[in-house]
Amino acid sequence: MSVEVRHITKCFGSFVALDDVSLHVPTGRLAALLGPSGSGKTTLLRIIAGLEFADAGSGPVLFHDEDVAGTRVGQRRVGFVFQHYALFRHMTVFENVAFGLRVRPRRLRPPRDTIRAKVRQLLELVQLDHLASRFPSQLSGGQRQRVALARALAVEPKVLLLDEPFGALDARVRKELRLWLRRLHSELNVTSVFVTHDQDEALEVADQIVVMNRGRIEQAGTPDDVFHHPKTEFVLHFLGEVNQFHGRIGADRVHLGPIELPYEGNGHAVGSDARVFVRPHDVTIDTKTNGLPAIPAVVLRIHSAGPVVRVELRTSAGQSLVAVLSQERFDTMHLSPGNSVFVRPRHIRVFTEAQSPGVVFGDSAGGSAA
Amino acid sequence: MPAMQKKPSVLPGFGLSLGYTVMYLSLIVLIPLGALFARTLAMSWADFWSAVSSARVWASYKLTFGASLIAAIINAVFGFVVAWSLVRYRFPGRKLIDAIVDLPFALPTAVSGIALTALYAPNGWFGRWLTPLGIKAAFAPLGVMISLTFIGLPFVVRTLQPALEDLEAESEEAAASLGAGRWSTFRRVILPAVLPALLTGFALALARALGEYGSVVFISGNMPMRTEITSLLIVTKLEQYDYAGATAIAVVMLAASFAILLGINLLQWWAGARRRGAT
Repeated sequence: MSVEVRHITKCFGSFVALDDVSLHVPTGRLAALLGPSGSGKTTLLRIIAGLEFADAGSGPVLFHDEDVAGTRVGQRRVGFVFQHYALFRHMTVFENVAFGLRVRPRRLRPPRDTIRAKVRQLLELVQLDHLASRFPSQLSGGQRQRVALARALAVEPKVLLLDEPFGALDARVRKELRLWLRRLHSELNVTSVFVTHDQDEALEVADQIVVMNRGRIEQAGTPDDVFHHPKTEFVLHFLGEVNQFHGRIGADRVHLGPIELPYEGNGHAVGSDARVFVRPHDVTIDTKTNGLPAIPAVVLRIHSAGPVVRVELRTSAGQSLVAVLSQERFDTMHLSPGNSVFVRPRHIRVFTEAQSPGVVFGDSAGGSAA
Repeated sequence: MPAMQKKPSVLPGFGLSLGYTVMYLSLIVLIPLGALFARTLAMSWADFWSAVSSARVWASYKLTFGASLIAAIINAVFGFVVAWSLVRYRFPGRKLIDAIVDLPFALPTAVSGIALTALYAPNGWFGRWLTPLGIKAAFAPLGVMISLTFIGLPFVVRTLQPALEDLEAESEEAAASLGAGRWSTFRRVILPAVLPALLTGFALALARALGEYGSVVFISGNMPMRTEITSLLIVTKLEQYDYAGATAIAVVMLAASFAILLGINLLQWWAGARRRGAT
């Protein structure tokens, strides 16, 4: 069951939550709506679910090419999982999961034994069969969210929608649950859309990422696509830490303070101001200059407790930047705060004032564009 | 005492506050009620029985408990609607309506009794239209019920409001997304969640109605066997210097009210026990 929305606009008073948004999620995909709070991602999810309705003049909401924009949430066969679980507090885990089957009209309601068997099977799927007779208040957050998921799956939804499903959980449980969701999705293969503001979560779990900002979709694509080929500065910023420099576009290079980096411009006017971005892991630190273009800098702080070492530096021009390097490399360098070093961007991305997508990979060492 | 281990607390004064509680309750509640019982002890069993079971007294029990029960049920239903709209919707004049709910609390009962009587008397604003339909409101059991409904409303609304505010709108959305219709969402999700509060409101409205005197005596007409409530009967007996008879009836009222409230509390405990779990 594919999900598609076309030209959706939604305003709350004078606030534009969604501004002409179109999106297509193919059958069986797990898509993430990623964005900061207020970007419209939850509103979009709720419109897909039928909990919210788009403004007049918006296009259709299509489930498998069938317009469902006029139908109520109950008829859409969607499973919806809420950030704060929204479990029924006065019902046991078993009754919560059975709810969707028990409220069916009599002629569609499965017999009692079938419901029991089905609920048992779902509770096994979420590994909670031993807690069937507990009340939600007796469960941990992660367990509650798994109950909520089992409850949503009980009605055999054609589309599974999750609103910040792990947002209220602590870091370790989140990590566990997102791997588990990934596995569950490959088992069930139901088209799923989940909302998150955590880029790691989106990159790790989803096969399609939709980055949203201010009611618009900035970029949609595979995790690789949005991470390695961000189309806008917003996407670049949102998907991870990045160092920003001011530069100027030259004929075949970009001037970056004291250095020049080879750069195959794609239409940026020569001489125009540019913003140059470098991810911390694309920064090389050398203790001596080796002939390659490099910016002199001073080490300010070193955080080496972790899988990688994070080094904060300040360039001779007074700009702060962050570099990330492997523990092995760090060990060979004997860095300490106050050292003078040379930093060299390996991968840069250039945006000019015109905001045109200047996604350019310059490798200053090899001079080849990726 | 090993069974009552005291937890150290930043606020001292457990002994003092418990002592105060017991003394206060004794002075205000227990001693007067005890005196009531002591008074009846002076009667012989036969006298007591004849005082509390004459036909006239029996008719007053039926009217008082019957009308109070119906009034409390009406208040439970319509008080729910009022509380729901006050909690869920934002509309102009909401604050005003919210304040109006408290009026039956604040009005002297005699005032409300006179107002209701004026409305429902055969020549009153409402009575004028009811009389041709063959409905007699004032000076009839119906009038007693109307008056008891009037004074009981705030109890239901005020106890339900916090419970409804506490409801997560999300759990209704969850029910809807699972295919539940509006009615089953209400019956299976909303009602069970607010049932303890609804029962409390019902019990309070019922208790208030059972003891009501001022607003009823005007509208009921006080006809023996027909529209005489038990409280009035007690006053009548007192006026006839039949103190023993009056206290005997009072004891029956007290025992019955206590039994009803205890029953509702048990029901509430049962309804609440399901949700209590380990919270």
